[in-house]
Amino acid sequence: VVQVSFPSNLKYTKEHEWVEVNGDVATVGVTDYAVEQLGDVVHIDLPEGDSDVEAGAAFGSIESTKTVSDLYSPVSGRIVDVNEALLDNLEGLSEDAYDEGWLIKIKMTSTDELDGLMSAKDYDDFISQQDS
Amino acid sequence: MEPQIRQTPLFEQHLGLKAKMISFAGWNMPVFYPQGLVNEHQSVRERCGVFDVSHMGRIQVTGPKAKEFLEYLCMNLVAKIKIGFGQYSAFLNEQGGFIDDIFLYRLNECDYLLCVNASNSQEILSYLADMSAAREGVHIKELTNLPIQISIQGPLVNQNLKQCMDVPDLEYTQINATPCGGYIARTGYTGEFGYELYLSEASGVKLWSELIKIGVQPVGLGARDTLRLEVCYALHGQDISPTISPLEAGLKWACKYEHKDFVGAATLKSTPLQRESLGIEMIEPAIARQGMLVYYKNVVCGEVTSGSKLPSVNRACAMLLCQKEAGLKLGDEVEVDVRGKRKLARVVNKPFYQPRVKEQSA
Repeated sequence: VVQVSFPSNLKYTKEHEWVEVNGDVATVGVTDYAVEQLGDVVHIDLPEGDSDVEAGAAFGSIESTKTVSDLYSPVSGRIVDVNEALLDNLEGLSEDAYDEGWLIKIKMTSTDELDGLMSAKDYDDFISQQDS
Repeated sequence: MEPQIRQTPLFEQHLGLKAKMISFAGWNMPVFYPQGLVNEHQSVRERCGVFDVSHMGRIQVTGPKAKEFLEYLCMNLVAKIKIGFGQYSAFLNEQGGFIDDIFLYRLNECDYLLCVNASNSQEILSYLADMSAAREGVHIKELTNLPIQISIQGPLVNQNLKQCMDVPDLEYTQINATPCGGYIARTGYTGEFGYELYLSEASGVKLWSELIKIGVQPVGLGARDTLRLEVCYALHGQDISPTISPLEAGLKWACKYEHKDFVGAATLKSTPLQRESLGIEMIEPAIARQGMLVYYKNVVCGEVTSGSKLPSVNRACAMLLCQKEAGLKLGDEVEVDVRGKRKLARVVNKPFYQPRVKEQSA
C-alpha cells in the first residue's frame, strides 16, 4: 500500500517526474515515490543551462548506489536554470523532493505539451497499478 | 519452461521489515530495508548487521575419495584444509576461467561442505555429479536439511549473537557444529569480523527473529555488494567469469597451478598473462559501473568489472580488468566512458578499505 500523497498543484509523468508551471516556465523534479524506490541517491547528472531539451528525451541521470535512471524532460524548450546547489546536498532530494529537490527550469516552447501529463490523482492511480 | 522465482524461508520476515524485494539469480531477495543501503552498510562497519544469504548453494561432498576428487577440481590446495576449517577456492573450466568461486569447509575426515553462488548452484550440482559419475567413493548431495544461511557481520557481532545463542570461540575460517544441528563458521563477505550460520528452517527463523528483536540491523543485497567491493572481494559474473582467470582477477594467492594438477591448471601454465585487475577512484564526479570502457592516453585499456559509490571510503571506486601492456601504474590517470562522457579517474591501491576479518569482536 502506497501511503504517499502527491501535491495537487503539480503535474506528473510516467517516468516519475513532477512539473510545476509558472506562466511559460516549467520547474521539473522527481517524485518522492521515485526517490524512495531508488534508495539512497548518490549522484545526479544535470545538463548545462542555456541548452535545449525535447519532450521525452533524457536530460540527465540520477544514480543510487545500485542503479542509474535517466531523467526525461516532460516538455520541450530551453533550460533556463539548473539546481546546482542540489548536487552538493543530495539529501535535499529525499527530504524535500518538491521544493529543495527541483532539478531544472524549462522555458516551454508550447504549453500544449502539458495536456499530456497526469494530475496528482492520475499519478497516484498509476503508482497503485504498478505496485499491485 | 516457466522459470519459478524462489523464496528463502525468511521471505515473510523481509516483508514484515518492509524490505524492497528484487529478483536476483532466480530468488526474490531483499535489496534494502527502510533504513537504506548506506545506513545498513555503516551498521556493519561500525556495529553489527545480519544478512539472509539462504539463496547461496550448499553442497555436501563425502566419501573416502572426496578429498582426492575435490583436489582435482579445486584451484586451491584441498590437502591444506584441516578438519573444522574452511578455505576460499574455485572450480575452473579447461580454459582456466571460473565455473564458480566457492568456500570449501572440511567438516570431517571425508566430509566437505561447499558454499557456492546462487546463480551457479544447479550448474555446480550437475557438474559435480558428472565429474564424480565414474568415480567410486564420492557422494554429492545438496544440503536441503539446512535451508537457511545467515551471515552476521561487524565489530559488535559477539555481544549481539551471544544474547541469542552460545557462540564458540572460532579462528578465522573455522567451522563448528551448533547444538541445533547446523553449523557456524567464522567467515563472511564484508571484510568485517563475523560468522555465517547454516541452519534448519525452524532454528534459522528463530535466530533471525531474535536478532531483529534485539535491534540488529537487517542488511540487503545492495549493501552486501558495496561492503564486498570496498574490500575488493570478487563477485562472480562481474570480476570473475568463465572467460576471466584467477591470475587475471588477482586471485593467484588461492590458485596453486604451480603446485598441483587440476582442471584448468594446464592452460594457466601455458598461457601468458595478458590482463590484470586494477582499482581506480573517480576524480570527476561520476560513478564507474560494470561494463564501462576505460581509456588510457585515449586508447581503450580495459573495462570496469564492478563500481559504485562506496560509503565507508566516501568515494566512487571501481575494479577494472585491464590490458597488462597498457602498463598502468599507481597514480596514473585514466578516463572512464560514463554513458558517452569521459570522466577522469586515477589508479589506486586495492583494497579500497582494509579488511578487519582477523580482528577480535566485542
